[in-house]
Amino acid sequence: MAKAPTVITAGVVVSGRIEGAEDIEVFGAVKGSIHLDGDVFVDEKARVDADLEVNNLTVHGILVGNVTASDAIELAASARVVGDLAAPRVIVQAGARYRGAIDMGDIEGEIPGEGKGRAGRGRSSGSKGRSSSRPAPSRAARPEPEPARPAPARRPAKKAEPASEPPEPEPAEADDEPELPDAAKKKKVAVKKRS
Amino acid sequence: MANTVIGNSIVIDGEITGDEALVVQGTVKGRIALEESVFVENSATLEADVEADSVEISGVVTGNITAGTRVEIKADGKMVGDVKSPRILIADGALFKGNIDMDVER
Repeated sequence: MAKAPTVITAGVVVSGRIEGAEDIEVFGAVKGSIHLDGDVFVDEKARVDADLEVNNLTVHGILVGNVTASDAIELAASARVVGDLAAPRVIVQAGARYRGAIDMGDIEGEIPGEGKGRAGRGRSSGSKGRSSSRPAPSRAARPEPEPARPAPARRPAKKAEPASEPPEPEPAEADDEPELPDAAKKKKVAVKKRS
Repeated sequence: MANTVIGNSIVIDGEITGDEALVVQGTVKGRIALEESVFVENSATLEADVEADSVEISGVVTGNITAGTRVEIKADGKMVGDVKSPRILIADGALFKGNIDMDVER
């Protein structure tokens, strides 16, 4: 693949669609799109205004466009990039200037207690206002629902204690009334924790 | 490498412009406008109009060529299209179909 790399030298502008199965080095300019089963290198003085679908991308220059890489995207210190990046590995060096969204794909398996976080999420969706205000930072907030989870777990435990006592009806009513504020308090506590 | 190279497996659908030499080993569809030489190598396919200083064809070209100094169709070159250039060379073995205009002043 790298035997005779395709090179776009400085002073050359390629506009349109580029396809292929080898590496490309850009020292000039590319406008349009690049769909490649290979690697793309964007030199410090190069400018790429294109959507990219490649294996690996290394940017030292200017790139405007969305990138999907099957392996890695690296923004070097001199890179100036605007656009969304999607790749299993995204490396941003100190000094690189970048604006956009990065998607490294399914990272759930690497978050400890991820399953709990999801369960907590499902329960917290009962309070609609909160869940609706949440979807965007959901990943960052994922660990937070966990403290909320033991709270509902305690409630049935407390209920079980008075329920085990012989005189059920009266204490049950008495319990129910204070329990509601208790539950409300717990919810409020949970709210504070979440916020 | 000083030249811009379009490798074997590469397909460009669009336009290549600039002021550097270009070596095409792959496929270019559209337009090429350079102030330098264009080399169309054995493995290359051009479906494009070409404006360049000089053009050297060993591959397959479909399209019109306008060159500032010369166009050379080598023995293994195949070309369909019109050529406009002050100097045109067609080697023995080359295939060519089209008009030639050397811009002769009478």
